[in-house]
Amino acid sequence: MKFKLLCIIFIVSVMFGCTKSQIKDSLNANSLANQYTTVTIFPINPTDKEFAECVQEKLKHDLQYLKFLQGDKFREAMFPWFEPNTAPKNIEELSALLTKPLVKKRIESLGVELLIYVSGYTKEEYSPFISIVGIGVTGERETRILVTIWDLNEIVRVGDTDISFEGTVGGGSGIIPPFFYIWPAFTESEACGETAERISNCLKNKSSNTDK
Amino acid sequence: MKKLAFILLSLFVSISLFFSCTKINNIEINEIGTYPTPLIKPLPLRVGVYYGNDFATFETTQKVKIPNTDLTYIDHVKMGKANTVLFDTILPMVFEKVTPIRYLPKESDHMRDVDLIVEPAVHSYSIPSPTADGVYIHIVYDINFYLPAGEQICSWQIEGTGHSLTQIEFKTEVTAITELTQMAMREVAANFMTDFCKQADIKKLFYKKCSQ
Repeated sequence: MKFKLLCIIFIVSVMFGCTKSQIKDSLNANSLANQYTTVTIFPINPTDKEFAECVQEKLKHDLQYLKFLQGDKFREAMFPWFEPNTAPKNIEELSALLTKPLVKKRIESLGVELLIYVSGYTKEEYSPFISIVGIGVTGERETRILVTIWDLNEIVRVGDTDISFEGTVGGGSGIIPPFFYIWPAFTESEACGETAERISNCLKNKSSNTDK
Repeated sequence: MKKLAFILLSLFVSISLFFSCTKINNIEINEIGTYPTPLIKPLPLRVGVYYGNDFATFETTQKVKIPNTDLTYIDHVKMGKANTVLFDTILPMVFEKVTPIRYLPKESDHMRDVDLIVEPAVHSYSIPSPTADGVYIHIVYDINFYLPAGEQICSWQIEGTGHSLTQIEFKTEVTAITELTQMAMREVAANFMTDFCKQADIKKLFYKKCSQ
């Protein structure tokens, strides 16, 4: 009986734990892709660090020929030009910044050729419930990761991705018999994995253009 | 997932325990953290810096209501020392010569050996109640600029924001407020360094020096 109950809970968990995704990808595969040697995955806001680290870990696995400079190290090395409120937001601002000799020299000394801005968020909304068999919470979880890729050699925007995953999550406890259950939605890891895959595919592809 | 775990835990605890309380925190911020050597060339300007008493002894009391609980924090924040440390740190990075001055010149005076007088002041400091986006701290400084004869050139408002995605970081309120304030101050510092010469009145007055 207990085994059947656990099975039912497991099946319900799997059903509700599914996620749906929304993907916008305007990455233009870059003809110079395989010539890049050093990349920085850069969280514009320090709060986006986890997303950047996750994307970096997956890219490291896919693109083993690339060297990665930690976003934090890049921010420190470029102070004060890549703080949340001073980092260039578009190609014009980036281009203007790279005309400053000190900035250009530092980027050259760091060897960073590709700058990947990462930002994102995870939204969670929960509501509690109480029933005769137990108590718990249920809700929605959404993770969205936005990426913009800049080629610092050519000073071009390679493109953007905007990827979000949504899922239903919850958990709680039964009173009689006592048991705990949880159905998770791993929206962060799915959004991160999809983002990394898109970037990886773009960088692997040698034949196409960039937008200036 | 941390949030989900936290909500579940809160739900269970709140069934057996109902509490309503106000917690008072005395927070004294004396340090700003360390800043890297900035990628800027100090401007060939001799600057006098004046710290008013309100600025150098600034303190504020913030009432922060934690949503969905009966918990309210009363945060007494003293940050006069951090204010002066901040400008003692950034001004010598931006200007070739910085001299502290004890008073603002009146019309009859004319301060020798300075090209510009800088008087920072705290316009506002706020800790809004945490939201789903996390915890924020906003600092707004008014930077007043005067000529050596005491005539005010302009006032520049600079904002900084400290942002943490979640309160559940196993930090005390005191540590969290200190770190977020320092984060906001770093934004202010970066903004001052990158945008000083972009202020219309400053640019007009020191066009040649700003162009070097």
